[in-house]
Amino acid sequence: MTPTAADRLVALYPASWRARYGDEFRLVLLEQRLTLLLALDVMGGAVDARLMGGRMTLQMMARCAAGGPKMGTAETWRAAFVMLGMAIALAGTMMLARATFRDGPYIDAFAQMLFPAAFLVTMPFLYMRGASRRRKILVVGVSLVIMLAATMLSVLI
Amino acid sequence: MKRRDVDSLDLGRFSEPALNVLISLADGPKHGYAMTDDIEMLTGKRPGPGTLYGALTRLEEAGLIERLESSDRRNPYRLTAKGGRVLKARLAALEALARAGQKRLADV
Repeated sequence: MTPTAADRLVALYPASWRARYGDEFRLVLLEQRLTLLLALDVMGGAVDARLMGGRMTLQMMARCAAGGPKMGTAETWRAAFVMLGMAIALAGTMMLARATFRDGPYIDAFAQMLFPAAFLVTMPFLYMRGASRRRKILVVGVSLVIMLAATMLSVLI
Repeated sequence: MKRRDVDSLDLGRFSEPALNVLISLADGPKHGYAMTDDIEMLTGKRPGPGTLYGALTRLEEAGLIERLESSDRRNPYRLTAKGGRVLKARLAALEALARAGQKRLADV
């Protein structure tokens, strides 16, 4: 296929995936004839790559929850409500950002932050229930800042 | 054969392409395009690049294969020790299944 077609297909994948596999994937595409089936296969692969990061985060969260804190029913519901609410709010913000700024490496990177950030904000209702308000704000705030800095760094490097 | 090793290759719809990749790498490192040709020769079906790299991504994350750095950007992949173990276990399970199927057919 032509370099332009290969570039367009590679561009369907998220930035983090392209950083690792983009060059070699493009070479593989260049050596193949462009057909409808091949294009559909690549599009399916791109959707899968975009979903994979979020799914792995969810699996990690499920494993954490399995060995999580001992809580009563009301506390469990409150924590679940906060986590779900935060996840929906952050997902809405992300969709708004995508619509406003279009796709880009920063938006991709922040999308990866979505579920861990929702989990962090829920910490005061889970593992940190007994901690002081100051400690909760400090731990969650500092963790969010570190996560944000690491995300920015991963895009810049 | 450890059950855990067989289950390591349970990668949903990527299980079959992943097994094909491991078999392709069993006789030495290969890059993406060489794997595509090799899998076509082995199975009679050419894997699409999206499917191949979906399987490669998962296998690398599971520690079953590793990427070798190369100067020409065609990074080859090779089996890890864990990948070799998982492949052996998976092939043994398939062999046992095939034997059981053949035996049942012969008994009819």
